[in-house]
Amino acid sequence: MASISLAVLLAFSLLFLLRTQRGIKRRIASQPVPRHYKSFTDVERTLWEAVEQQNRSNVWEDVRFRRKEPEFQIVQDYLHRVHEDFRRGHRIYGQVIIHSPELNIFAQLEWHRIKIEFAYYCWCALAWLRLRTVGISIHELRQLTEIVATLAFRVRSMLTTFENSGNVEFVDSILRQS
Amino acid sequence: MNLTLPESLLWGLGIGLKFLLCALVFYRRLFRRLPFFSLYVVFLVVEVTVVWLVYREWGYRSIPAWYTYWFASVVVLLARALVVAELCWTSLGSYPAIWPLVRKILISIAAVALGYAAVTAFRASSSPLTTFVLSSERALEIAFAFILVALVAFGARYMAVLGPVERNIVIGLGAYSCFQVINNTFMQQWMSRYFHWWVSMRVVAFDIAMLVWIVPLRRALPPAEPARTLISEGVATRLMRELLASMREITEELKRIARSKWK
Repeated sequence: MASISLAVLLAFSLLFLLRTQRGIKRRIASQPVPRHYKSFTDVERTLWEAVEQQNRSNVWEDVRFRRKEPEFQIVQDYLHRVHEDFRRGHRIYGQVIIHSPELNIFAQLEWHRIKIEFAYYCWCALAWLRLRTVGISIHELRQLTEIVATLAFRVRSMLTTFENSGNVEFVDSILRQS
Repeated sequence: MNLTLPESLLWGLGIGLKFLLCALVFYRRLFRRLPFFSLYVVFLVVEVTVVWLVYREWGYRSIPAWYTYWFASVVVLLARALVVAELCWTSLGSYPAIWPLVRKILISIAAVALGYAAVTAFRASSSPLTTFVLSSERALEIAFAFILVALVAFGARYMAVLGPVERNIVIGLGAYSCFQVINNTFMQQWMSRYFHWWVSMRVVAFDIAMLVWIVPLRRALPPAEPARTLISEGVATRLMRELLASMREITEELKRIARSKWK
């Protein structure tokens, strides 16, 4: 029975992953370098103004945005854009490190990516949970933004390093394929 | 011929699909892009022709038919292993850090699977040839499924996206391998008296896999993706080391800031 379960699991994994690949290919070249996270201050200001108008007396850091409140759409849109940034940065990072000439360098660069990925998905899960229960706070939004900003900074550093060393074509091909 | 009418129809359909696939592979010049897959398709046609001739000459349940069937199965199984290796090479061959490791893993898997099959066949009380083929098939099928899932997962993570033809070959091979693992388990445990059913199910599964391979070959092959722009190994090593060092510095700095915040 174990081999049958394993075979079924492998078949479903194969189909799921091929579907994911197809989705990735459709999104390729449709997005620029991560940049949405930079609008965090604007989003924070908009949310602040909305809360001010409603005369909510809470401390700003403790204010929670729930599903029923009008600001919820702003928060959700921002989270969606940040997630797009993350996916884009993640893909560019992957495209760069896969060209590593040595396995050792590749493994170390991949380890840095896994750490960022882990932090991002933990905060994402928390945000998802909070959005559906007690509401998300500005602190949690800031944490997610910082993680994506770190990834974006690393991606930009990579591309700048390659560009400055005269490998502009390489950078173009990475951006085309990711 | 001792085949029943449904079995004959099934075999006829399988033979037709094998010839059609082979014709399309040569018509679309797929052998330039995937030589081992093309060779595998040729083997399929040769296998089915030889087996059919032997069945017609000596009968379905004769000893020559038995030996021909199992020898042909070994050849086709080994050719399929080469197709899986070719798919890995097509997808990962241009990555200097990854390919040597993948090659070693593939060779180890092949050695372990064949070693397991040889030991099982040596110990078996029934026919060593049948036991060797079934054991190696069982081991290799599950290995193929694992390798193909790992290949697609790697592609999704590092954007090594497969082309439509390669993608359909992966689907066909992967689905067939998973089906064979299930089929072999049933055969081994509950269905040894229904050998003909087992063979028929296998033929049906393979016909479905062939249909999946035929679909992208109906139209002209899409042009090969432009070659990736590469930089010299020395420059890449230097730049990647620089990046790594700067990442370590930034990480340390962030840790220091975080520690100072908590104080």
